[in-house]
Order: sequence, then structure tokens, then C-alpha cells
Amino acid sequence: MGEKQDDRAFEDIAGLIREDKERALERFRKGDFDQKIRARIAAVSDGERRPLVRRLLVPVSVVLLFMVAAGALLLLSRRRTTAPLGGPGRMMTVLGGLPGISELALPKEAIPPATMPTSGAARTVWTVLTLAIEQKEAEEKKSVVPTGPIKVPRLSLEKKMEILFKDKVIERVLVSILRKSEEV
Amino acid sequence: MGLVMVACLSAFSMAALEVSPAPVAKAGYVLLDQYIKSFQEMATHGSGSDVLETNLQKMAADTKTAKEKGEIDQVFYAHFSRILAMTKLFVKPDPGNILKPVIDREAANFIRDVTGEDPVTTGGELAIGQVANALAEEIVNLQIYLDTLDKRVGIRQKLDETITGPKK
Repeated sequence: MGEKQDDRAFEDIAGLIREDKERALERFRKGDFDQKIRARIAAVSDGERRPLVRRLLVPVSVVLLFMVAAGALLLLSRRRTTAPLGGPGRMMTVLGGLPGISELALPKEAIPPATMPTSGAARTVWTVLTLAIEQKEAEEKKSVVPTGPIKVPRLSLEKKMEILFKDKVIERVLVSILRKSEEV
Repeated sequence: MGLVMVACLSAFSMAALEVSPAPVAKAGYVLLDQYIKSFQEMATHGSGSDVLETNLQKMAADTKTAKEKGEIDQVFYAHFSRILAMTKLFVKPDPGNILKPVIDREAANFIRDVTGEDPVTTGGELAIGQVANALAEEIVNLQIYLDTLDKRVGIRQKLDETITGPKK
């Protein structure tokens, strides 16, 4: 019983395929593809006989447009580049274009401002430190830093080395300060 | 027509890339001289740490101003500020030796960075000698840095041209 049903289904499918095949062949015969292909080949051959200037016009225009756009982009990017120390602007531009390096220039995420801690002990420490910092800043503001240029005679490298390595002024002063602080 | 435009654009962009002249090194020399003179006077007259601390404050303020005005570059600023900071760590009284671990660590890093030596573990005058030597070396390094700054800029310019072609 089951086998008969399967055979019928196969026959139906085979019938559908046959019908499709016949329809396709009929369409092919009516369409005269041979003539269409010949016409197409003739059209392509005509195109090849066009003058060289006309054939190159479109690709050359596209290339020129691309070059102008690239030049404009280069100009904009280089005008934005600043060279610290009056230095290697072009090298920076070249290196800056590399993906690994350009990422370094990306702005870092903003550091969130300090907030008061929620736990009791941490809040106490936070309060004490904040007060100490404020006090320190106030004291720093009070301390007068002498302003104005100090007239210092220009020392040559040789003279500097003599003072530093022969006279050992830094060492002498630091040792003297250390001794004084130990005495206190 | 298009090629002419591209050529014009390229020439214009190269002109925009003109490197600025080397920074003025004068302020850097003055700061180095101030530092050395300050120690020289203290060594001669035996002034206390208060005088050195005041001088350090003055030099720190001058360094900041010179940096803001663009009279010294970032390299000089970073190295000279570290010299001032290291000196301040030794000059500032530290009753109870609270800052000792910090001072020791910073001094060890400074000595290793500048002279490549391992810091002595005994402390005292020998350790101070090492720090003083590293400070002196760093001062000389900065002086030579300033002396060769123009040359460096010139060489970097030449290198740039080797990479991207000569300036037009």
C-alpha cells in the first residue's frame, strides 16, 4: 500500500520535471539565441573600434578624481599635524598613519572624579586626606617663591664638569645636610 | 588639468609641513647653571637646607614657566624636573623616616636609569655619593642634550626627507 503511494509520488515529480524541460526547450527554440549571440558579438566588436581617447576617458577621469580627493585628504591631515620641538613633522605623519601608533593618539577615557567613599572607615580616611591636602595646598600658596630672573653667569660644559665631578659640590652639600639632620 | 591640480595640492601640503626652528636652549642653560651655582654657593658658604629648598622652589617655578612659554622642550622638562624632585627628596627633612621606603626606591631607580649602577644597600654617605654622582651625570647629559639640539633637529629633518622624499 505504502509502496504504491511512493511510486505515485515519484511519477508526479517526474511528470513535473518533464513539463519544465519541455517548456524550457520550447522557449529556447522560439528565442533564436543563435541570432542574439551573433548580434551581441557584433556590438562588442563595434565598441572596440571606438577611438582610444574615448575609450580611456572614463577610467582616466575616475583616477584623476581619486588623486584629487587623496591630495585634499593629505592636505587636511597634514595641516592638523603639529610637530613638537619644531621637529619631525613628516616622520610623525608617516608613523601616525600606522594603525598601532594612531591608536596611541586616541583620547583616553576620562578618569572619573574622586567621589566620597560609601563605607565608614574609607570615608574617615578620605575626609582626613582631603583636609590634609587642602592644608598643604594653602601652605604652598603661602610660601613665597622668589620671582624674576636670577643672573647666573653661563658655565661651559668643562666648567660644569669641574664643579660637579672635581669639586663634588652636590655630594658635599647632600652629605652636609644629612649630617645636620642626623644631629638634630 | 587634474594632474596640475594634484601637483599644486601636494606642493601646498608640503609647505604646510615646514618644521619650526629648534627651541631656544637658552632657558635650559640658565636652569642648569642655576642648579650648579646653587650647590656651589651652598658648598662654599655652608648654608642650610632651607636655602637649597628655596632655590629648588624657584627653579621649579622657572622650569614650569619656561615649559609653558615653550623655551624648553618636553625632554629637558622631564629630566630636569626629575633632578629637582630627587634633590628635594634628599633635602626635605623626614622626621621618623616615614618617607624612607619611597626615597630609597626613587633613588635606586634614578641611579639605575642614569649610571646603570646597582644602589648600595648600606645607605649613609656612600648611597648619597651614588645619588650625587647620578645627579651630576644627569646635569652633564642635559647640557650635552642642549648643545646638540640643533644638530639633532637637522639630522631628524634629513631622515624625514629620506623617508618621504626631499622637500619641494
